[in-house]
Amino acid sequence: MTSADWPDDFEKAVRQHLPLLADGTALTSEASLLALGLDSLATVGLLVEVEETFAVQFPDEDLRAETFATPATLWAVVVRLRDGAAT
Amino acid sequence: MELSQRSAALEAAARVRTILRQHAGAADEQARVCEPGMAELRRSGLMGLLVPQERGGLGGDLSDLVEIAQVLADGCTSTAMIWAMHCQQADVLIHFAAQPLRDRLLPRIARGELYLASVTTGPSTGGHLLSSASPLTDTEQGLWVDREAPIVTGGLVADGFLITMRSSPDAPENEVSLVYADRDQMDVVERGDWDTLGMRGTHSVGLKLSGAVPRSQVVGGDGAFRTVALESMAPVGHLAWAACWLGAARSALGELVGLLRSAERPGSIDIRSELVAERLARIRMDLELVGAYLCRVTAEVSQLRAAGASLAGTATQIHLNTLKVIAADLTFRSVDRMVQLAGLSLGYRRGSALPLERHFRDLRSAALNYANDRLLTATGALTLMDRSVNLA
Repeated sequence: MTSADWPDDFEKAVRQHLPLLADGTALTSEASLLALGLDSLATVGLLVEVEETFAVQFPDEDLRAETFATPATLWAVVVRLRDGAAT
Repeated sequence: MELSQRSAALEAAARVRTILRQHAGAADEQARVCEPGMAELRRSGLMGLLVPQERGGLGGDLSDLVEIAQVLADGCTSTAMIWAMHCQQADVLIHFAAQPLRDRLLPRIARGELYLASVTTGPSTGGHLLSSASPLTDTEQGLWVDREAPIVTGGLVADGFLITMRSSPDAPENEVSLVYADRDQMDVVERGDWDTLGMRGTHSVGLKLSGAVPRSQVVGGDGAFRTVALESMAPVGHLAWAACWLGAARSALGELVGLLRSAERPGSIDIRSELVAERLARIRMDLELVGAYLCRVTAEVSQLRAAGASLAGTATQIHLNTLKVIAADLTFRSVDRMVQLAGLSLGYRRGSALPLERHFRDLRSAALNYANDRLLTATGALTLMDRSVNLA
């Protein structure tokens, strides 16, 4: 997956919560969000922003470290929840 | 540990406690590690409490750890803390050191020859466990460690150190490796003194450590300290610290009750009064709550470990953080209330028949030692991730 697979809003939301990702550096789909500085409070901020932007609500079973491991894992959950909500 | 071994370990702890009681006042006054207490601990076999029996240790588990920490803290909170943090480091080696390093170190720990100190605090990162500014550098002699360590509990008497380092000069601050260093592999320079309000007998001096260690002394893998911290160092630390603080507060209450029941009781305290009864009840209830929660979280961690499961789950992390914070808050509150009940002469004066003022000063550190503020922030964030509110 490349960053082109997710919308700008998602990229913007994720980047805002990664203090260790330098401006101008690409956000790759397999980047470790933890290594880029996503701590527990930042995770909450990212969760709330993604939920509001994409009008989804993460169920408890998705609130796991695995969901917030990489941009790809997080985007996959957003897509699943968004598509699930649309049907 | 079998029942007979457990009672032998408790008897050994009781013998150490006797020595600690004799020297706790001096260790506090001089702000030095209690040497007779440490010598007795090394002789007792308790330094190897968690080391498996096949490596010469006592093969104890976490419930033994929290029980014995309370016994030792009944003698001297500072020395109990030194021992508890040594056991925390031993647990890290037992679970995460590669086999050759385990083979080399665990028998020495069991024989009481290797007191392990922890170097996780940094000048710029403070107690932020998961970040370190100083990088490991690859050299021909091995990995070069050059580390300012502002607070090293029992650092001057340590035989070995577990040190957090940034995994390489190019790695980000949160990519942290844990390395073991023998004292004789390091050039150790003392920095600054340890003249604090309480916990003075931990003599937690600043040190500058430099020297080379072989790559085989990286514990848990390059950059893998986060896992070590989540699965061993933080949970065992929180259990052991809570047990030390509870042991100190229990000791204080035991001595206070002993005095109130004796002819030495000051005339100003009427133990038939409802006010005194209510004050005692509130003190007792705080310790009951900490004791029960400590027991519960110890069981949770033990069960998860026995099942080979991770301790990193949201609810378990909340429980461990909560244990540390409530143990720090409630044990200090209980001793504060004991001082109030005992009054100026008995509760506040140095040289009183009850060392309440020392307990008060010691337990004031509990909220600062791996600061409650940081744990509350994490717990708050984790709470938002646990809508089903899985309580301990």
